[in-house]
Amino acid sequence: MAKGELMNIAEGETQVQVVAFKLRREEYGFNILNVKEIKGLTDITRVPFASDFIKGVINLRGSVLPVIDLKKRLGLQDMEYTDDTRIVVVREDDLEVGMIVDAVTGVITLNGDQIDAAKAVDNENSRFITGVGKVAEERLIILLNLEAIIGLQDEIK
Amino acid sequence: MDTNQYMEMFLEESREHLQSLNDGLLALENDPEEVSVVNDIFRNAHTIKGMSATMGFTKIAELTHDMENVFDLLRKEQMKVNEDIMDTLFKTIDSLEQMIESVGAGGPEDVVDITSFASKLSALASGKSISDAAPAPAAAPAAEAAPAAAKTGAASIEYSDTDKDVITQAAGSGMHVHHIKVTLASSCVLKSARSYMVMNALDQVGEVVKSVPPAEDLEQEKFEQSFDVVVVTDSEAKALEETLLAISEVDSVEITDAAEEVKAPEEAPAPAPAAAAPVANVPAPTAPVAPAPKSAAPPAKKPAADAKKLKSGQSVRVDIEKLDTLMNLMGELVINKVRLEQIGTTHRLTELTETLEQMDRVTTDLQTVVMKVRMVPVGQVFNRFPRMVRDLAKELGKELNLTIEGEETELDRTVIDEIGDPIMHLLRNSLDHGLEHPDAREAKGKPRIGEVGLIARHEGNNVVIMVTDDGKGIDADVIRRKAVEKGMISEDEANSLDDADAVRLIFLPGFSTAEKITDVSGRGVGMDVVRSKIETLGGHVDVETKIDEGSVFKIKLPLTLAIIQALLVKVQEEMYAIPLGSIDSTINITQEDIKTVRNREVIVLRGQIIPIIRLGDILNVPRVNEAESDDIFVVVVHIGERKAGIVVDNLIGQQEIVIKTLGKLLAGLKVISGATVLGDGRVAMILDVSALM
Repeated sequence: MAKGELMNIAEGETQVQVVAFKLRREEYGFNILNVKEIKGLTDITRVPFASDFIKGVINLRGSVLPVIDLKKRLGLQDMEYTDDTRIVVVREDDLEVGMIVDAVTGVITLNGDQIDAAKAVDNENSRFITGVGKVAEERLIILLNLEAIIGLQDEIK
Repeated sequence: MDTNQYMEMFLEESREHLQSLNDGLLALENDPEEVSVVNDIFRNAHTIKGMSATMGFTKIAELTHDMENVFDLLRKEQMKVNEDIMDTLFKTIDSLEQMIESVGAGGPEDVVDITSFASKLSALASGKSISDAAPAPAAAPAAEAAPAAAKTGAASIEYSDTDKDVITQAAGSGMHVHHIKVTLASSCVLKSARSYMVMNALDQVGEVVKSVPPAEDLEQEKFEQSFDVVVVTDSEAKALEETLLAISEVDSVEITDAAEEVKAPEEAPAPAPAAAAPVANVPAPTAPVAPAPKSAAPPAKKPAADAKKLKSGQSVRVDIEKLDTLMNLMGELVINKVRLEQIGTTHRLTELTETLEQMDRVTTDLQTVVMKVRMVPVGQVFNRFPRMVRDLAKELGKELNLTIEGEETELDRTVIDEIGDPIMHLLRNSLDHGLEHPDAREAKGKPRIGEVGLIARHEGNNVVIMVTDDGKGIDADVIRRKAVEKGMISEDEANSLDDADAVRLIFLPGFSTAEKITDVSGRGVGMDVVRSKIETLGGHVDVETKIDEGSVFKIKLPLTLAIIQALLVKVQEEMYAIPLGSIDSTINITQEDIKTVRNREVIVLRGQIIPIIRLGDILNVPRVNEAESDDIFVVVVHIGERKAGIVVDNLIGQQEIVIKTLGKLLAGLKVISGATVLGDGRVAMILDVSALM
């Protein structure tokens, strides 16, 4: 299997690398090009009057970075923070945001044929999802649409 | 050649040169005799021409070339400045600006039709034969006469009254006062170096009381082959002459007695004797000093004009983003230092603590420097106004004199970028509504030419920018009537306002008193836009006015937007910063002091009823401590005249905080104006007091 994958990479035209992480029991991923860094949980300051999915802000080397509670954004049930909880700092255009995830599982290379856009789960969250990557028989990674999650356009109405 | 990489440099420099051209032309318009400015702007035009030609912008180069021809005639005084010429030149500069901005935006060069200007300019340039025949401008003979006089003899410098006093006194006390004319060899390349050596030699034997041209010009080689120095010394002329001739490349030295020249200016300047005049036996002149010789007057003009020029130090251009990064890194450094300090204290590491104290000094200095780097003089904004005011005045048919003061006052870069439009609005307003037409002014017994001032200065921790005019002022009754007509306030309310408050109504949205809507101002947007802009900058604007005497619009701005003094308060477990500028006082009260008036909680402070705001409720702070203490801390804040008391759980202390924006995602939150990083690395929200009230 591993060999096969490597060969695909060599030919690869539409391959994509994703940073995979866990939210509750499912695995999700952001395109690695959007991910700036991954950091441990630090003090989060609540911001009054902010949207409910915005957990607050943190100090990222002197700048103030908003942090999104990704589980809340996706309508998942809340969970206590653990030692594995991380903040994934992502960047879309000139906007930087931190995402709270339950654990980061690694960087995974997916080829075009491993990604199934049609498989996108058809529920209220479909707008947040660009597709599903199949790594192995039992391992699926839900690829997230960062633009929609940051949701500048639909939140400001 | 790939010129893209030079594009930015080209744009920046062209803008600068255009600005200088604008300034220069304005100076020339104000004083058409002052031909020397043409020399400067000629150089500006020449540089633009060269740069644009290099960049391949032939149209810009052509137009600049045509303009240069006109400048050339002006500086050679073959043409006299008139209104037509000035207007054409100004319009040409505008077109150049448009073209340059267009190429800057990646557009084509020929956004404006230059042919009309080009033909007009060449018409002006070729029209010189006519102006040649016409009597030469008054300045011409004078300016030419000056260097001529300088060549004929040493006794050609002008002594001011002070100079005369000094010379007479020195001569009276038995010193020699020599007037020395030093001529350098025509082959001399480093004239400034030679003149420096001469001055240095003279400084060693006595005191140089005057030099023509002045020392700065000598340093900058702004002289031909010779210069004049007046020196007070006890050395004899002969000795001086020998000393000076010993300096290489000094061609000749003529020494005359300055005391004699001062005493007898009426006498024709005798050809300077090769040998020194006998000085020792000159009696101390006691007679009042005679008026300066008329013929010597002109040369003073050019040095004066040059001295006005601001000294330009060496500088580098830095992208503002880099400065922001620098500032963030600085903040991070400070925070880490605080952490190290905590480690040092908890583990009792004296060596570490001592080292950190050293480091503390360095970081503090570094922080100040980084802050200062962000400061820029308001002149950067002010310098575009003279031109605007000139054009506007013409358009409106008004006559005025614009005075600008305090251009060197510094403000944070972020404020500078935002302040231009509000000031422009105020200036337009003063010109359009404030100043009367010249005839109307005359009828009121005021001078035809109005005075408009743009003044910046420091006031405590603020910078104040004032726009003043000596126009008709604002009639409080007219404002009251308009406000009632527009249904903004009721008749009773209007009558209860005193004049000052009534005038302030102009800052309300949708207020415009202009009888007719003009292109300039009076669209009903304006003053309220000015106010909101200034307030978002953390400043505020006010107006003082007196009928027929004029108005003063006063903008008060914090020195910097990046760092403010704030009071840190605690609500439950959350920390908030309240800008010190809006805090009146902090008081300690008990639950009984809080009364209820019309369903609102209030306290009485020094006879004044002040509504109170419970911060915890407003901000929905999660309750951690249920136990309510009987002691209540109240921070009394004000916005203008209105006051309110903010109830908090604890006062932490006053601190300088660095303001950070919350970014796009959290933009537009009410009550929160920004965030700051505290010493322990945590983030605290900054409260917008005006939104709380």
